[in-house]
Amino acid sequence: MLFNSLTFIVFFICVFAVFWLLKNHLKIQNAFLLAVSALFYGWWDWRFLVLLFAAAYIDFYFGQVIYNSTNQRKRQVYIWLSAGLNLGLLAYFKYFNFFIDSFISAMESVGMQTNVHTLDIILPVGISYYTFQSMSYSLDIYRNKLKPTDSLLDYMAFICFFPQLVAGPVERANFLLPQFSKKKIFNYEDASDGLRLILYGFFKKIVIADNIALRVDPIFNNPTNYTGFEVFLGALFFVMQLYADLSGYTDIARGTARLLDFKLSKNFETPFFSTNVPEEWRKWHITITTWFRDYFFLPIVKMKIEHLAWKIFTTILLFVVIGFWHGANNTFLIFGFIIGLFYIPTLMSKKYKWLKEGIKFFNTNPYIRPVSMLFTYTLFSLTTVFFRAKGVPQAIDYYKAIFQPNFWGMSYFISDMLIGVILFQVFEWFMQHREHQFEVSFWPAYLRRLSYVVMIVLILLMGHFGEAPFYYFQF
Amino acid sequence: MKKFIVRSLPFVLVIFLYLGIGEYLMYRISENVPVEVVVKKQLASKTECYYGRTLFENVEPLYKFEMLSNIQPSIVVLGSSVVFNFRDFFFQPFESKFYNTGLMLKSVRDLNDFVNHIKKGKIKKPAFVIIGIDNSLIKKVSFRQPEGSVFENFKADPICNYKEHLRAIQDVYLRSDVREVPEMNYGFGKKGMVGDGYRKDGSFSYKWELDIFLKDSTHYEGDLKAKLREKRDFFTLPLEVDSNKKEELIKVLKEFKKLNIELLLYFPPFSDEFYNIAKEDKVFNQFFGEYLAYQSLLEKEGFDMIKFTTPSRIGLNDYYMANAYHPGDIMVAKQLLTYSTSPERKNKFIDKLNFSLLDSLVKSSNNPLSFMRDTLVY
Repeated sequence: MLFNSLTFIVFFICVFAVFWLLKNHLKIQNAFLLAVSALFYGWWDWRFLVLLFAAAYIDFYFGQVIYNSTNQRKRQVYIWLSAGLNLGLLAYFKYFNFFIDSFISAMESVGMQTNVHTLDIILPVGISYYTFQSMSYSLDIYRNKLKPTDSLLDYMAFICFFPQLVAGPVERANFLLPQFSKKKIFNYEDASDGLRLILYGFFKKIVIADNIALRVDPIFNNPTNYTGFEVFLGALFFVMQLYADLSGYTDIARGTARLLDFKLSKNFETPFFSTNVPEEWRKWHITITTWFRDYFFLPIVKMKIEHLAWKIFTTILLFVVIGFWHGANNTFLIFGFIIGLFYIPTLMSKKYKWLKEGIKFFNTNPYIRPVSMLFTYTLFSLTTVFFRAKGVPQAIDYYKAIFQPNFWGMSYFISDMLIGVILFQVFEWFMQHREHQFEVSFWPAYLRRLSYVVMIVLILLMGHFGEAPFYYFQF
Repeated sequence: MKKFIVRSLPFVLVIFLYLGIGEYLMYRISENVPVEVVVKKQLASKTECYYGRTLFENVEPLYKFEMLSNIQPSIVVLGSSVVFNFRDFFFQPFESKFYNTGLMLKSVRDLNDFVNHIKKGKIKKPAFVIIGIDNSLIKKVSFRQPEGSVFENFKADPICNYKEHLRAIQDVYLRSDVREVPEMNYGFGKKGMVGDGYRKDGSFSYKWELDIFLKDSTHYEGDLKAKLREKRDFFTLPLEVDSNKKEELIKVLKEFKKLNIELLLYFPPFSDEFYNIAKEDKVFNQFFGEYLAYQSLLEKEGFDMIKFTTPSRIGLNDYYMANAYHPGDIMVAKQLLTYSTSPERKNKFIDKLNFSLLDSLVKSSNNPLSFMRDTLVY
């Protein structure tokens, strides 16, 4: 069930009504949430519900046995088993064919024929998200940061919570799980803010992301049909599409959760106003980046190897892994690798004072700062060509198309989007320091109401109602 | 909670207001009339009545099948848009038992299904069938060929789809030219209201092209040269003949004969301007050569046909073409008249027809593009 569908709107109105009718029965509310989450997920393919429940239960079980065990060795065995099972599921459904293809290519490159074949595997929607969320539960218990819950119902409702089930934000148990044991109280301010988030999320998805996709998809499919400048803009637009798409999803998720008196984490913090790639990445898909930081990167850092080369290596490795999380394709590995390379100046600046001063100058000088922002955005966008391209050769062809002799020229189809994107970012600039970018509660009432009407009309008038799936669903 | 609902409701009303006004604007230009209603009203109408939507798809297969089922004609025209200008009054005295299904069937598979529907009694067996054999029928890749047979999978009327409505409402708000209510009202849909679109007999009124011609005697080319140059639409590569489709088509045509249906194949013309340019294109020339060879093959197989031509070959000029690949009324009439008097003709049904009216109309016509018989419009 897609957020941007009439089915979901009807579904959510029903969920909202029934949920608040059950307001004094917490357990029944949680059972209801679990049931509707199963319905929400099963709408895609009910068979994968088994997988979802299995992945969730693995960590519930291991969470209990890890917590109850006093033997450190046993605890280690349990956590490896838990991680192994989760990653095994992910590896099978998401990476199996990639590994087999890579193996066949490697064998063929040394002149050996193999009898191995790929399988016809369907990627269950949201698997990368819910396995990571459930893994963090057992990992936190292992690291003594969390006590396991005794309530299987609360735990399952936490893992399967429909607003964030298929594309995040990836929540930690110590933040979201306790909310399932807290009595639900309807709060007008929270609910209003929830609606604002939903409204802005729909705007970002239906008006910005889907309309950009209509322009960007043909450019990426056939870059040679466009001028170099249009191809260049295509890369810049794609990043904007990605941002509007996933942050739009997150806003709708946070908004729907808030209407049910749940709070979900922020996933984006206006990343395009960053003056360097590390800063931009810190503000981009935050819950996934911090997941990798906490459960993958920091354990390596704790090895306390202080050599700069080691730090650079681990950082690049972190981003290669993040890239690979997105999908089983070399393009994601290259994307992650390049993002990792962009961290080198920041890492070196800790050792070289002149570099530190230089970066500080670019970040703080009021005249240079806008240039740094634009440069960072461009750099990030051009890197993201690897993220979008179907394969490495296509990405290279795309870069070549930018530098073709026929560079200048822009059709109306592209220029109108450019204006739209600029206006969108101007709005976000003014709202960048708010809790979210449509947090207008501080505006005078008449202006606030007018802004809602304008937003609704913009969605209805400019939105693309093709029910295009969210981009991150493929991950 | 109550405060929340009460304060949210006005914003829900904004949505309904937007939708309501949008629907009303479409109602004023009769865009949101379902096909089902169009068919009923068109059949009941005693004067000419057109069906042509601007914001919604015309869904020809659904619409034309409904009309066909209701009329149960003795003379049926099948094929793509190239047959649009075969009109009911060409076929006296069977005027009321005629229907042009142009654009309902788009592939050999569709034709085959049509025959099967006749065999199963789902479509009344016609006595005489004209089939437009345009090159897309035997082309390897046909851009307009949908997946699955047209009869297996009629596309639902977009009027019944909320997403289509949302999109159409956007258009009606954003496009002032669409929003304007025309002074005349001769049918359904914005185009239909001004007399552009499908007539009751299924033929197509090229009102837009006719207006251009009447305004400054211009022949509208229809972008076909650009399509050929850029190898898109009809000319999407590979521009090759599919030998399987050729064989299948012959089989289907023979099936018509087995059912004792008189058959006339129509190889549609190109304008001289386009054809002279297209011949210079090697890929097109090779492909079209094979298409013409197929025409000869069908002739040898004993099928009656109106062969491929260009206006100049039959003493006309490009003004007789609605555009580079669609002949106007008069050109089609002339081709039919020439065929009716041809000594090679084997078709017996033609003997039952009275062409005197058509003949006099052709002789008296003062506009090359159309008979202008739609007196409501002109």
